[in-house]
Amino acid sequence: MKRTFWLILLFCGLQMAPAEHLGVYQHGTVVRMHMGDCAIAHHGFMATMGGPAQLAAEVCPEYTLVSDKVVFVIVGKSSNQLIPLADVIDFRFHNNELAVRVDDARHESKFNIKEMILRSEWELVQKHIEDQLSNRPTESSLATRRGD
Amino acid sequence: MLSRSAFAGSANEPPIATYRTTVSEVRVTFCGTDEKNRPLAKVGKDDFAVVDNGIVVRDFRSLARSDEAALDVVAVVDASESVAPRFQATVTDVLKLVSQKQLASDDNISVMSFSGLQPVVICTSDCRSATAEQRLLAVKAAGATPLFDALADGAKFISRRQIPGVRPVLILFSDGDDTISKTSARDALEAVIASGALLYAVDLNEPGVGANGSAALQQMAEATGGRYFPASEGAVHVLEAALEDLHASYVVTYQLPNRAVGFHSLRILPKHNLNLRFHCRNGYYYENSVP
Repeated sequence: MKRTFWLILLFCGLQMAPAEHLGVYQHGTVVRMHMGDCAIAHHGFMATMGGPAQLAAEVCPEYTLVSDKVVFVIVGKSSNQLIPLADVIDFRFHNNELAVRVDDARHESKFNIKEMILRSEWELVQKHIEDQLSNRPTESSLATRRGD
Repeated sequence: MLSRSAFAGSANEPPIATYRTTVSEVRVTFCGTDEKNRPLAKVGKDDFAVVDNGIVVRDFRSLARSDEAALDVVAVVDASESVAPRFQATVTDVLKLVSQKQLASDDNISVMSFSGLQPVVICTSDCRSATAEQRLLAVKAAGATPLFDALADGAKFISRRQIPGVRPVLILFSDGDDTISKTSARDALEAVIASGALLYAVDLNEPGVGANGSAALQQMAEATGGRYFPASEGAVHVLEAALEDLHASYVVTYQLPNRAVGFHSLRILPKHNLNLRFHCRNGYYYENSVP
């Protein structure tokens, strides 16, 4: 009897243990965010067949999440599914989605994964974009002073 | 960031030095509200991040209370046929607004009305006088609704009056349903944003009626960092809200995150507590201009 009790307790404990105790969370930083098309979030039958008209107008938050080795582009499932933009957030894979949490919160928010790219490649692309922008003439003001 | 790049001038004159500098700092005024829509008494750098053209900015150069201490209010009143049923109530509201003591002087309130083909300035700097009151009471609600023209004109009008330390505010009384403007909705909104004014929209639609107009008013107000109110809340409440926002405002500055020319969208989002909301204009224009 006593043995059964301890087994149940152990089982429940494992079920309720926060995921970080299992060591499955990775860490990353959200570096970009914009409101984009919800199409990837509504990829079910209705959306495929055209879906209700309001879906076309709906926008969902899209985040670029940079982790140690990989950069993810993830999309929320509704317009108000926001991630707090903390310096570091925890995330883990869950059934082809990314489950995200902030500040050791118990609640996770699940996002569709739109793109994944190696961080090294992503950084090369970013550098290229930066170079393109900085090669343009950038002076936006001119001050003329007499003296000195 | 200064670099001396050219010299000119005769031997007898001090040389002219030309300095070229790259303006690389963005300055955003904002205020925060809690889950009950009350202004936040204190905001710290770790409470929020700015999303500038999609780039998340967390590294700020400065964060300080706004030094704006007063409002310059222009009430823009829809006098078209579509708002006729509640026009008298609106005029009464505007008169109450004009008489508010929180507005320190007569110079800080002007009233424009719009209907038919173009907006008309009812009063400026003498709005508390009996003559101005008579002029406002004489306005009849009739004709088409040049809402976007009126907003563009209101923005132009208020930007000519700008005084350091005084926040320009447009309080719009309308059903949000434009019928005749030459100006597009986008151009009108851009004019308001460029003027630096916050738009507080008072929706003259009855509850449950005119959903498109109400949504347009709400979107325009929020895009400028202002707020939206149903008519039932009254003009005085709107003024109180504008004053609350003024006193709870902060200014954050940060390095321009990229030099993409044109419109940079702006959002301020919480870093930890998703119940907090931060209100600011929804963007600014960045232009490379070399004379």
